Amino acid sequence: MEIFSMEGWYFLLRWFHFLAGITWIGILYYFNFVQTPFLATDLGGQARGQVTRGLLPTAMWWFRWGAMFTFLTGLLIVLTKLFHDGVPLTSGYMTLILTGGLIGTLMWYNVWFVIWPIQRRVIASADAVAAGGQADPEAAKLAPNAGLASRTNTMFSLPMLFFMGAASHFLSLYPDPTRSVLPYWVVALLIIVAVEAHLLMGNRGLATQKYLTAPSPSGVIHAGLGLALLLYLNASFFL
Amino acid sequence: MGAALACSERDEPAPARPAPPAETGATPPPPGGAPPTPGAPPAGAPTGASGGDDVARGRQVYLSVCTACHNADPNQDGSVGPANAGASRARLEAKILRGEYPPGYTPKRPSAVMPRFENLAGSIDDLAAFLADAKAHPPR
Repeated sequence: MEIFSMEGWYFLLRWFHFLAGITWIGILYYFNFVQTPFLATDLGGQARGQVTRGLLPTAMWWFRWGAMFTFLTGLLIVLTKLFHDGVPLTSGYMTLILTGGLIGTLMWYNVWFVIWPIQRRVIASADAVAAGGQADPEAAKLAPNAGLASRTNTMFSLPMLFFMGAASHFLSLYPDPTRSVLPYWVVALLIIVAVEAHLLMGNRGLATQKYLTAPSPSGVIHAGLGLALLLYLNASFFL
Repeated sequence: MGAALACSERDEPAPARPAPPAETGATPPPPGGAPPTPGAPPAGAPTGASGGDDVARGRQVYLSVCTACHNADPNQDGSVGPANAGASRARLEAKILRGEYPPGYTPKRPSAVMPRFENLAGSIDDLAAFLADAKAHPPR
């Protein structure tokens, strides 16, 4: 029974990490590439109540639990590597996987602590209206914040997967063992934190980038490619 | 990484290089000692204190690159790659630079998932020194 081994443990964790990640990001892309552009059309406007009450609760359930299981399995993989296998934080694998892991953790935070609290209010408001009651005025005001968080996560997903994949499949990017990884991390953290701050400050009324919030996803895809390129150049230069 | 399911745990003759001076201050960590500290060479990793500069350089490369798949203690299996303490210079050169095994060597698991690392050509001797030292002075 090969599965009862450390290799099997890693493999099971990675299997569920991928399954949960596909579930999560698949629905994220459905929201961003399919549902949001649809809701901006005339037909979508007419269907908004049905979409919110009929599709959103189920989609959000798979979405947020997909995020949770992706996060937890990823955390277990990293903890096992660190504390069972003794892989140093400064190693090439850890440098790259934790860059992806930091982005993924912010995405998980955005799902559970930005998007879901707003969406559950939006769903409750739509249910109240359908039952003949009043709409929650706060829900309508907050909805764009969830939208910006969702767009930010879509943008984040490109460099996230780049670095997670690179940790195992782009080994030329590994750091020079004789150099410190500190400068790399300082710049990477500045870039990643700035993107997250843009989201959180945008949700407090500060100006946000229109290309992120437009119904068409082309802006966010380009922004994600640009962010991946920027973080890659940082790795290429400092590692 | 998809690296080295390839190298086997099979024992090998000692590498051709002279053995590091024995027991010059090799201090294995106490059994069941402190948990490894991320960022520092972990408790599970050989101290290499018995070796020279080549052992230290080899450890640096090993911890930075090889631990993606191999255990930080080369005497133990890693997440993907098996134990490789004591791997000979010939085996390292064949596996790391050419993705092959030396003639007559039978890998335990011929999965061939370990990629080549041509950029480590200058570190083969250091890695061999470190892995020989790790076999001679396992951490417990």
